[in-house]
Amino acid sequence: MIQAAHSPVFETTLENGLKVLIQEVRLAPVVSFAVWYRVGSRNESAGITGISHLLEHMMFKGTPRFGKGEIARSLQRIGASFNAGTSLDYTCYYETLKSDQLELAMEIESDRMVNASIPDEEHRLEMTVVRSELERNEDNPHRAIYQETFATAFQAHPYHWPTIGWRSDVEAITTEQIRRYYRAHYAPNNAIVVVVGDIEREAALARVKHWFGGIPRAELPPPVTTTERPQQGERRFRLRKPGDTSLVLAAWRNPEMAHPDTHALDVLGLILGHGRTSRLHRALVETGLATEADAANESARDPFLVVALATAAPEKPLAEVEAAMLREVERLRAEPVTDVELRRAKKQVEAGFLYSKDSIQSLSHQLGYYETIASWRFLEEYPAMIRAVTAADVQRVAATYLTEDARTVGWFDPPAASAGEAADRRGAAGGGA
Amino acid sequence: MSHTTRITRLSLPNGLTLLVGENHANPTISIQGLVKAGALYDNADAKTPGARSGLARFTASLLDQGTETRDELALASAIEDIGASLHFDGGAETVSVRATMLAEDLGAVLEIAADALRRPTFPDEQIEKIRAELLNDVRQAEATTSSVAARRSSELLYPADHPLHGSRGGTEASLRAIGRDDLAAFHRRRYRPDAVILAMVGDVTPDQALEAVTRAFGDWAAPKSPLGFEIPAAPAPAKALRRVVAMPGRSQADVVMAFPGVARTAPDYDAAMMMNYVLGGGSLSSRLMENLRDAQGLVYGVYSMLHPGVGAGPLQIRAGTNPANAQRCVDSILAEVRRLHDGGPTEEEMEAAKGYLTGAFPVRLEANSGVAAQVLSMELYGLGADYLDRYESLIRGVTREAVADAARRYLTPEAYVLVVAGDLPAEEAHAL
Repeated sequence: MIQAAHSPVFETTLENGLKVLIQEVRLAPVVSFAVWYRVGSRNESAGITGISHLLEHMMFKGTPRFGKGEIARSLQRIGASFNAGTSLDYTCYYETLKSDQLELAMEIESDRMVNASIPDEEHRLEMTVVRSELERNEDNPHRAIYQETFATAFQAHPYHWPTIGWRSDVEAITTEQIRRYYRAHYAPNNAIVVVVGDIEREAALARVKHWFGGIPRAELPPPVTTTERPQQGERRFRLRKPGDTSLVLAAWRNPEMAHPDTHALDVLGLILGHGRTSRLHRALVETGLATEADAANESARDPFLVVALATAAPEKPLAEVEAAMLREVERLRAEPVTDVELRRAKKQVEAGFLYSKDSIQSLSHQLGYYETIASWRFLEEYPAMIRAVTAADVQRVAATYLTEDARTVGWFDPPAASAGEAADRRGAAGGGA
Repeated sequence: MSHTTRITRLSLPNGLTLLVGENHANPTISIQGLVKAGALYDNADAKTPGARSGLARFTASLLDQGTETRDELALASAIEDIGASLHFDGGAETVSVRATMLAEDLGAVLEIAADALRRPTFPDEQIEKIRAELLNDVRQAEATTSSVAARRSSELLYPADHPLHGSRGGTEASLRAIGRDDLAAFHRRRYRPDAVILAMVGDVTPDQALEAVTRAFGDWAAPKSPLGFEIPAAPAPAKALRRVVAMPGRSQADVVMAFPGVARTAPDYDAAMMMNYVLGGGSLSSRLMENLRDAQGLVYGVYSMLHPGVGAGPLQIRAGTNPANAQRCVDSILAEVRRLHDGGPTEEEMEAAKGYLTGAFPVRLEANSGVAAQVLSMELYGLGADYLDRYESLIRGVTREAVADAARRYLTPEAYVLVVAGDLPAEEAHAL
């Protein structure tokens, strides 16, 4: 007995180029408002890596209208849940609040789309926070092995560097560079506004036009055109950093999210490494080789990676863990997955899709995320596309993408003597999280 | 709260309590439940205080590791095959039960949950696997400055035989000493239908829910003995107790200042909660944040938190800082404690707190899981069936004087527990 709590997604583009997505969802007297900018570490270049993330921090430092601390204070005064995030392909800002307070979210976001102050003094102060994030990253074995993987698998494409940036760049970036980057990338014609929740479509659209319609479009920097060359041979690394865990990671280059093979690769990822019934869990954890093992197809706007990761059990040789992991991948190439596995993966996708419709906030996030990386329609078509995936499709994409020559294998292998000290470092790092 | 949710309270003859919220917008159901079998019972039968710390969590971790009819993998498959989730987690007072499923799978998930809750077999191999995981958790906690500071503060705040002394995670010694018989006995004694509350919200009617729950749990007999679910009040510290725990090589020092806190059922709970919000309860513009982070740049974050339950869990103030600033950090925290104790909140702070709390409430309830969690705590703490409707007026009705009273009662600047863990320079450690 499904009532029509969810309207279809309404899509329009204002004259200034601002893309607007609106969905009426009558679950609670709450609305989620978000602005997604099509800018992330993908748009950076040597010397200014990490600047997208740095800018995101500075966006909370106020505008002439909202003085220092006023953005957070005014949102907290009405109990809004708000935050921001920076990734490879996007920077997003969102507020989830009582639906009668939507106006404030629009006022703040339209104001800081063009009027962020970015004061020099605030930049200097914020560096303490950013440094502490950098340190936590450096001390975390998982982050470290991922960072090394990106840097190894991508040589030309900006996915080469971490979203947080190289430390020396982050330290050297000037406030003026941040301001320039802001003016270049933050504009209505490089943004998507998403409104989901207890609102009336026409009224919400009228308010979006009121707050954002007058912001002029900007001339955007040229698009990112670098493509990564095909990988012609396995790449390996061994990280000898202090740490209290040993990790084995294998990654293969995948196509961009909008590519038709994404759905079969997603199913492959679930069967290989999602949950205790997955192949990696059975082959690595059930056998005592590893304490954890996961895999997933990590899609992005440009080709990115299928990643398998295992935490080696104490005393287990990493070579043995790696061999078992790669054996499971080889099996995906050699023979079709079983009906039971396929059915399970499909049901998981189907259920996950419906779970996300429970929450206004998660629906809003998904719409913005997919629109930035591929298209919001990707989300809507997703369950049907997944239902259509066959065992032969999974085997085909395994054979196409999970090849030896296109893979990057990495070990996080702390020097034995440093195990005690390593535990200390990790402990200190985890404490601030 | 949701437009569509209506809450129905039901109970089985064996004492299991069921709360059902209808929301037919989407064919999914969220369950948030509990068993009154948390760490407060860890040492109820121990010969010496602390000897069985971690027992409740250990037991809860083994619920889905093998039953009379399914091994660990069969249990995992049963849930994963239908794209559902089912988790048990042993907490300080209760074991939480969380599940998400498609509406069509309600019966299947309840059957698996009942299997795990009623008929775990504690296989030796799984006991050792979970023991290793729990020991690893303890080792990591003991290597982490923030956990060490928090644990030591609870040990100082509560007497050795008090249920909130120490940690629900146990110690190396207690975890090593717990055997299969302890686990099975704890399960036999503490897992009983009248100790279970299930709140489910989603595409389900009360009739459907009652039928499915009865099928899974109806033939579970309740023991005659009384349940016994309470935590005695702990004596307040008579003076300031300060400890420095040396942890060489850590780049960050962690400070925990702790006071005996407030029970969720206390008459002045709302006032205490607002006092905590003003002091450091998550807002970027709390007094602690504005002073220590914004004005002095001493910390990345500083928070105060209550742990309200059936018992009065601690009121903690926590901050991570550069070891060289530890003393300044402590002095500044104490100054803010004294200021709120002496003067109470301003009218402006009261308005900000009320705005936050009344605005955040519907946001927290925007998804089924949020409603279920709220309904569950309403039942556990006896907040009344109309609590969702009363919430806003309850908060609006708290006066500045009531919050000032709470500050005088709970934030005692002369009597507290303070622990600093980290690699402190000698003069810093000495000054503390």
